[in-house]
Amino acid sequence: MRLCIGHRIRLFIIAIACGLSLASANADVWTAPASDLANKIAAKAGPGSAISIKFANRSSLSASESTKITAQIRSQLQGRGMRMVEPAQAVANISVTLSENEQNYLWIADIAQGSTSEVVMVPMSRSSPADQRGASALTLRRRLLLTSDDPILDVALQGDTAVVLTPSALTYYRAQNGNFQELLSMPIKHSRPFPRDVRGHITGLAGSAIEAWLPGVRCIHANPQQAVLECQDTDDPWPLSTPGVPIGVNAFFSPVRNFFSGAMTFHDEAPSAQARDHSHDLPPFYSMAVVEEEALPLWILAGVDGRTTFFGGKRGTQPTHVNLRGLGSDLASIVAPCGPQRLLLATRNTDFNQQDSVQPFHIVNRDVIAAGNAVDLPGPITALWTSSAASDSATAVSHNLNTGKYEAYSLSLVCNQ
Amino acid sequence: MVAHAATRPHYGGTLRVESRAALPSLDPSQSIAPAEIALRDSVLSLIGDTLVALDANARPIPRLATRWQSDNGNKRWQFWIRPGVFLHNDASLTPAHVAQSLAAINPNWKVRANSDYIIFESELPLPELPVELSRPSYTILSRASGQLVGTGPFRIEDFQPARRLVLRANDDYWNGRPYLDAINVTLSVPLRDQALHLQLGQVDLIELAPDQVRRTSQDNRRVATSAPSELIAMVVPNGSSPAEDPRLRQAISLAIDRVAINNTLLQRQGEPTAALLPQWISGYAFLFPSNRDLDRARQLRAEVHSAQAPVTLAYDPADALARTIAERVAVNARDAGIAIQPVPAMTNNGAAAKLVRIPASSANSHAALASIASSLDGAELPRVLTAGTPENLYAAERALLDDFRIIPLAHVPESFALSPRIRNWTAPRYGGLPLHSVWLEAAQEAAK
Amino acid sequence: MSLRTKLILLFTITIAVSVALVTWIATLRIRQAFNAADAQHTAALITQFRQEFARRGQEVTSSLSGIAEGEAVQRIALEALKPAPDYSTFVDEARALAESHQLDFLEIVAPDGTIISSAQWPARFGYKEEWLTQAAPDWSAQPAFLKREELPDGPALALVAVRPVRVAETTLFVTGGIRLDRQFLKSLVLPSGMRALLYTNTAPGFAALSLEDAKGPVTNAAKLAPLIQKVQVRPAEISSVVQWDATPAGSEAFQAIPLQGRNDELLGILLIGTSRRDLVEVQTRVRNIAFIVGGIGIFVGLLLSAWAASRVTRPVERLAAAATEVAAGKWNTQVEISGSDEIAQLADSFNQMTRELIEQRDRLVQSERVAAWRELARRLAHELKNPLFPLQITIENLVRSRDVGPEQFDEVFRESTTTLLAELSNLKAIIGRFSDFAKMPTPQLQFVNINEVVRRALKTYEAQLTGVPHPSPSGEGANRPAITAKLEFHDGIPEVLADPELLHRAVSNLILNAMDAMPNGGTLVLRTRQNDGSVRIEIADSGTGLTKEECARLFTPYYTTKQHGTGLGLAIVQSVVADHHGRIAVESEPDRGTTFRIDLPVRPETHHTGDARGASVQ
Repeated sequence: MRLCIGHRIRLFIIAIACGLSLASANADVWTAPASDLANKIAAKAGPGSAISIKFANRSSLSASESTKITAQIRSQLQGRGMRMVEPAQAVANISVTLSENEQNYLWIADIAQGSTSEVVMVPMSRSSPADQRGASALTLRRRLLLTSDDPILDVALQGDTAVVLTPSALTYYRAQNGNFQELLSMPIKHSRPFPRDVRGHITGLAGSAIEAWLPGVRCIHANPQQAVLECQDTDDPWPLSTPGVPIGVNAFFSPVRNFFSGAMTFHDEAPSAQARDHSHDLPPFYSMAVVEEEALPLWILAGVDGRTTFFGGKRGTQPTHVNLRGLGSDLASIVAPCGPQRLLLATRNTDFNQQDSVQPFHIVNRDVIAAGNAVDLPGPITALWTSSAASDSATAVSHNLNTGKYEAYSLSLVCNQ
Repeated sequence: MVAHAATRPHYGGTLRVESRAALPSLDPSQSIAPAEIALRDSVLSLIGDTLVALDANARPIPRLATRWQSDNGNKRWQFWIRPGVFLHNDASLTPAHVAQSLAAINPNWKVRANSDYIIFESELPLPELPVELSRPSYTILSRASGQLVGTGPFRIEDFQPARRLVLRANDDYWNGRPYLDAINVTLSVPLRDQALHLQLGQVDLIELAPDQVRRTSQDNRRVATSAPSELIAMVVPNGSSPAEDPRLRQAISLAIDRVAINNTLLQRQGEPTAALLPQWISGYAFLFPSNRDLDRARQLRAEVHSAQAPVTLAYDPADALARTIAERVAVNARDAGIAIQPVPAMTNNGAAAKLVRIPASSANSHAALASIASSLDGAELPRVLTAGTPENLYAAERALLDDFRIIPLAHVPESFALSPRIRNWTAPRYGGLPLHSVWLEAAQEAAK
Repeated sequence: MSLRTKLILLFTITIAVSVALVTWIATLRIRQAFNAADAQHTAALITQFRQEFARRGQEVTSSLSGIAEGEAVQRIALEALKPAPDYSTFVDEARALAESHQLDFLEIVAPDGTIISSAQWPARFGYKEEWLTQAAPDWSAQPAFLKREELPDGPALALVAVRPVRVAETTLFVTGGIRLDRQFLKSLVLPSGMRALLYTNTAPGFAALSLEDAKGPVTNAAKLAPLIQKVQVRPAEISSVVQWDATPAGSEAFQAIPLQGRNDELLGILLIGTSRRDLVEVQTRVRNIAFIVGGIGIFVGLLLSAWAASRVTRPVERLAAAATEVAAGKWNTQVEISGSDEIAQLADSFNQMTRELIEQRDRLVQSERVAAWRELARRLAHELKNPLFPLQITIENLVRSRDVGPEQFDEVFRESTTTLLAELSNLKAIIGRFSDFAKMPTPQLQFVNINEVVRRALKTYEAQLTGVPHPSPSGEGANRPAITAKLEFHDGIPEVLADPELLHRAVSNLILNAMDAMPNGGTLVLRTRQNDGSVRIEIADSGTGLTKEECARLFTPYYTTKQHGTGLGLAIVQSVVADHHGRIAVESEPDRGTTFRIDLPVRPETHHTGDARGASVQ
């Protein structure tokens, strides 16, 4: 499993302070490779020689970093008694190029002495602190919860505790001094391989028990005091209930194809005339959200065929299939604090290698009308879940295209902004 | 009715691919033309896995090997084999399978299987062995039943060289079932036909020559392009009488206007080069000057006193761009008083030189240079492998180029045009077909 | 040569000469007509070429104008306005434009002469077309012209034009055209038997591969080298005939037209070839027809001439045949008379003549028979009278002696009886000779050496030859001068199948005749020699000779020139010779002697051929 190769989840409390510059802190990083290069040049050109030197930057290093590095190299050469002179007076004309390849920064010195020329190189790992860029900036409508090298499938917030579901583990974190500290991590055991884009969902059970659903697997962490996660293969439907909606939904999930088969049961969590312990066969779908239509729950399903299916609402159990232009396949619902109306959150119709965004929509006459500006996320959205605990937030996970990390966001609507 | 796709991966569907490659064999132990290697590597990555993969920084990470270690000065390596992996014939992957597979690719290696690991032993140090093993050529395959059986996300359903290749999804792939149900690759399709078929919706994925990329993009078609990684070079084999004098070959190299080739013929999609590895892979390609020096070329030509018979330059007749490049090389060489005659030929039978396309196959400089060197008859392969530092790698590349038998012209990207159905195209920077990760947009039904 | 043959020959020659004359005139006229037509066709073709050239030039100019004003070139022109124009995206424009405008050549050239895009040589982008910017005429007013185009596989001949594209202060150039090659030649409408060849003058001297016709490279192109080299030296229209092979149809007349470029440089040569094959074929056809017509004419002429000849010559032939028969002795031959023309009159005259001949012959035979009988009577009377007279005298003496004494009477009686017996014997001998002649024996043939026969006969008379007194018929002996006998025998003479005794008798008679002809002596020459299949015996004397009349009657029986001859000697000789199927001839002149020649066949024929054998006289 990927977690065992040292890619432990690193969590950062999102703070503007994270954007602080690391450049000054990295100044010493260049000393060692500069020294190495100076040694190699001196060995070829001879210590104490009169040299001419010129620099070129062919790497992704910034101009300021390049300037610092060239200063370092000059300093190191001078420290070895070498004198910088005009090319005409030089014993050796040295061209130093700051280059790079996929693995390393590569500093190359081409030492020309007469008609001969020699090349020395110094590699430097690109995973140096200089390459570690800060986290993405935040917007007021999204809140970065945490980042991970491994795919985050779902995050459930319980007070100061964050429960994080990844394909390999269910982990508890607790917020302390602005950072999340890992409390407990329990591996998830499964007999069959997970799908490539494995999905998972955390639902709360009665009390403080946590239930995690993954393709073909159901895990229950019944006792928070014990690090025991009971996982078992199951074909049971996933509970997709939404806080505040009186009718609960269980949807069967296809573990190989990684979508909901469309077979669903509706059960009454509060008395309702709409549906009561009824099963329905709806088209296969990826995700589901529920809003209200004339005070009745209206389920919206993002079908695997790209169409959107409306079920419930004023038309009862008669599903309606429509093509909604621009909607992606991840849906959630959220309630704005400034109004009782439940809104639809939907991703855009983008590819998995593109940046994605989430936008709130009103449902009017079974069509979507934008209810606010889209929130951009730094990469494709790999998960979007209606919060199982609070109706005014949703969880989105984005695969950051720049860092390659998975970032979990809490989405919430802020009125009058 | 406008189709609307979903961002959530969709399982199912058959991806239709066309390639100009004939793909005479999928077995990496058999040598094929350099231009065929790119597709074979892509297919190998679909039907099998290597022991080691490369991460985003081109550094080795576990694949079928969960970990590894070396001792004895990198002359002895141990690779622990991932448990629970099954071959397509439902047999469990064992270290013995791995050892046999690797020995078939490189008979010089001494590979032994143990209970859950394999041991490499070599007389020379192999500091970059994990990187080397990340090359698609070292895909672990079983050849027990006379057929290639791998562990990859797809298994071979039908393979007819030069005609078609059908791959079927492996539902039990250890790293997750692929989204596609099947991949249908039609082989030996000319580029022009491919473009037509894409327009007609008969195919989902086609190859693009560099000079097609800009136009295809302007046609609002989806284009996927790698970094410039494929080497276009003129290769003069040993014993080529008209170009046997190295001064003549150097004169040809100096006479070629690589910038014009790149800017115009390659539509600025590539990079002019005199190196084997592109700058982004090696970091030192700029040390091989690619400038045109016609005066020096003429001077070298004058030093070769003998009357020069035309140097025949063979190019792939199915590759219109190759023909134009060959003609441009001939035009440039003529300026230096050197007669080059482009001739269409699938192979260089009788031709003094040939124009080749060689994919880098890896973002790692060692692996890429080893791959290119092996495509050039593998003469310098051991030297490359033993080169542990960038300086050694540079020296190895310099040695390969010193006698001007290989005259690099440009590095070009691998480019593909994609139908709108294709989703999640995440090709590595060096190119290849990331078909294990793509999915197809679901078929549409009429809205009610 | 018979009259008929002559007539037929005359007819045939007349027809053949007529046909040949007509054929020759026809051939001559055809050649003249062909030459005139070829000249017209060549002129028309040259005109057509020039018109086609001009039309294509206008097309090229028009196409280039269209291209220059087209959206693609305008986009390039807009790019040219930029400070650092990037033409790379346009590198394939020329190819596409050339294809769409059906041009073989098209280049889009930047204001500085740099090729932006080249259809004919895409790899030459970036190179300069200095001729466009250096000469710098007003290209927009320039018509299409010929130009040498450099291509990857060598230079080619092109009909090109240039159109400038002006945008703001910048001028691009669009230059292009079509290739003058076999495709261009194919577009020319050529009359049958004519072809157009194009020589691309890419290098000094003659290059066979630069010459092609509508089908491709010309085989045996070297034959045209002299003509092309002439034009290369002095570009002008030149005509020449090229003999491709040894046959008359293998010649071709060529008209070479120089094709020159803008600066009058020789870029190509158009060769209009007119094959002589059609002419020769027509001539051959005419000749064949003439042969057929002539043959038929001659055949019909033969028939006609045969018919006409038969109409004319058959009566003549019948006359000739009849004459021959008459000549052969068949005097009662009559010719059938048909019609009343001259031939019929001639035939009638012939018939009249034969009738008269028969009558004359009959009369002659009758008179000859009478004369013979008279001669025989005379001869017989003469022969008989000679002994009768002594008989009469003797008897009278005997009668008178009855008056004398018995002794005298006895003596007279004795003498008289002796004389009587002698004369009676003489009479008997005379009668015997006539009798012998009347019944000549049948020859008993055996192989005989002629030389021996002649020698034996001569030996019989050897005594008389040497002057021994020769008993005369009157019983008087006299010495006669000697006769010298000369034998000239051919030694190798073959033996002849003959009766030796009869031959001996014949030769003896002739020797005797010769001796009689030389009463004063002389030379008797006896010769034998071999002729072709026969043997000749010559007996020549140097005696008094014979007159022509004597010669003519020499072999007539009972004819003699001698005082005491019976006239049967030579008749017997002729009879013997005839019995041996031989011939006898006599040659004589008065006072020069006489020569008898007997020719005997070595193997006498079984059948007697009649009168063809016998005597002849010269």
